[in-house]
Amino acid sequence: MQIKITYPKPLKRKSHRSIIIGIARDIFLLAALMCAVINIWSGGKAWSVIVIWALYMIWSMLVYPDMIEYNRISQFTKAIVQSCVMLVLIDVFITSGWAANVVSIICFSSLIAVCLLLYTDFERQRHNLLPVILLSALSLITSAVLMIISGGNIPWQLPVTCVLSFVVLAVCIKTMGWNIKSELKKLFHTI
Amino acid sequence: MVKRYMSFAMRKKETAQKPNISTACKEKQKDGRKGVKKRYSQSISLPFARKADNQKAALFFEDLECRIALPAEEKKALMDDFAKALKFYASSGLPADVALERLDAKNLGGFYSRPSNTWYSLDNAAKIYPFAMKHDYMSVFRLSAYLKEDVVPEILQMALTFTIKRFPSFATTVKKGFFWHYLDSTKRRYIVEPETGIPCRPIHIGRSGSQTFRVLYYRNRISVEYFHILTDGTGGMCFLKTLIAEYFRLLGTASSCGKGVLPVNGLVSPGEVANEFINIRSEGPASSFVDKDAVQYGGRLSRIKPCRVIHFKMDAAALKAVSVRKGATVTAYILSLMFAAGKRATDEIDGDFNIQVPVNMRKFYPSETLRNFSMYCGIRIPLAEIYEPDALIPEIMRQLAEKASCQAMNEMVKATNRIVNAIRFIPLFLKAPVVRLVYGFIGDRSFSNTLSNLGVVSMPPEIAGRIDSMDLVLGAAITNRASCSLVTFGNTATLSVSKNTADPSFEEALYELLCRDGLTPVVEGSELIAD
Repeated sequence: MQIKITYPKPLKRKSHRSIIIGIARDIFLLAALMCAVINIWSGGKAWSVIVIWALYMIWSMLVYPDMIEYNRISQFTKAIVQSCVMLVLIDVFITSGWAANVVSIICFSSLIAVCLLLYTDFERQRHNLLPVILLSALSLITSAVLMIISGGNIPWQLPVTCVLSFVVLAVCIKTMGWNIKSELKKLFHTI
Repeated sequence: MVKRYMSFAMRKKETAQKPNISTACKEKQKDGRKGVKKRYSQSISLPFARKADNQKAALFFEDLECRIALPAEEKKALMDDFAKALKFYASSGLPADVALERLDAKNLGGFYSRPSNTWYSLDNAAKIYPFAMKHDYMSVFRLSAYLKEDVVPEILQMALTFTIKRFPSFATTVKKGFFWHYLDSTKRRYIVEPETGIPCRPIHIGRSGSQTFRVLYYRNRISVEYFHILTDGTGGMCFLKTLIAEYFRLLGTASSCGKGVLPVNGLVSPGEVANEFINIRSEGPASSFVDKDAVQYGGRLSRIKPCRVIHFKMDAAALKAVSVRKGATVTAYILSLMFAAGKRATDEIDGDFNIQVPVNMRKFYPSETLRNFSMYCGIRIPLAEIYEPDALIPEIMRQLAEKASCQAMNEMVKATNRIVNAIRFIPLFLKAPVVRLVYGFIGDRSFSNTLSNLGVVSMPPEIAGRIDSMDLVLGAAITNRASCSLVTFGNTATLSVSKNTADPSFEEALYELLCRDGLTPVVEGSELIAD
């Protein structure tokens, strides 16, 4: 059987991504397993939870990044949320009492940053509003709950985060403009 | 608004009454319209020899600039596309008036001047594709047309620029909603590319405004590769046909619409973007997606998929005659050959071969939708019963009649609808890992191969004579070593095989069986990519 070649000679692929991902997956799984076993065996604080979360962060941000919505706003908000979870885990499992303050500072500064990312390339980035809405809604709810829980002794970061989150949400709604119903339907459709 | 849609010829008359059309553009700028602040039209080199022609071209570009509200880089690139096409016409000796009329900016409609606000939820068949994709795997298929002359890239680019507005669900980017992925309308310059890589490689859809399909050209071949999330073979063929018809119009051969060619300046019907699955009633029994594992062909799975594409081009009338002589449909006949060839491509003795056959639901529910509207069935035969292909035909015919029936397909649609309904309120970030895990277990292991038969494709007579043949290439499967597809255009039936292994046993056996029946195909394809 003689095959007449009617396709261009493919360019040699420089990337060996699938092999790298395969090797990295094995290394990461082994590392996570070893951490958990050593931690359980040696006892003490649950530091392995933090290591495993850090491995997951590296995996999802660097080794196996998103294939859909790999844009600056989505990746930035993802990094912020994952970092906040990491801080909360450190607070819970290693040393406690500081996470609420630090996380709220990170939240309001990242909200400012995300607004900058949105409005410095508005034509393209206006299609990436969902991560901004979710980040600001999460910040708003978390800071409001923490303010209620903390009673009279409210650190300054919490009201600032709360107000800023509300402002960002309002800005997002303004950005959606007259089309807000359709935009919300698009983001939260169930069929 | 009326002005925006006025033809260039009409605008020329208007220009005669209003001496300077650029004044109108400037007035529009003053009105605060976005995207016309910087004048690119003045920087474009005009290709005609006569000064009067170049003046007309300058007016044309000034008007064009007012119609494009894209980011600066894209706007410039889009205008450059027009300039390149004009240059091609000028070098071909086409009169300026004819060239400008062919490229008339009215063909842009309002596509590039209006912001993108529409979106499309995924049809029920497409919902799985974003979950199933990996960095090295994506459900991509490719439709190609082989012209009788080499492709002119500048004209193909313009054909795409004019055609894309007619297919709004294709002019989209995949996005994440809170519960489901969706297709977000994207206004951008959609590009054609020279073919350089392997067919059906994954499309990068992550960036803001990414294309979900690609248009490629190589010598006399125009190919469109689609992420399956957009459409199925029928919708994809409709896009390719319309693109080709527009391409030939720009080359001076206008054709009638119909036979799957849509008018590029026509209005989009809601039915064309409809999710038809939800219109099928969900009462009654539903089938299951889980089936026992099928025997896979031998040979090590290649890392790069597909590692080779092979086309068997044969006489369509002879193929039909052989099928009729054997008392089979063309699909059943090819399936019988695939079962027999498959047996020579494996060392297994026990188990079943199961060949997946996509079924076009439009057969049962007439629809104009360009989205996915197909299901599939599996034709399963134990290895022990496979010897001569002719002996398999009655069983294949029986299974096709039973498993590809309206009732069987309805049951599958119901199963799909029920799964979709069951998980519709679970947030995407929770359901994604679970669906991926389940899909990873099921995958394509219950099938050995696929045969997708698009049937006989026809084109309007004005342009049919300028096309040699067409083919369909299925993208990489996960574990299947081969996937087959069949398209008939004119008197050429093209059976394509996408290979995921270097082992040539299957295609060699298939070739031998075709030759034995007197079909002796011409074999074309790509080079084998060794890992």
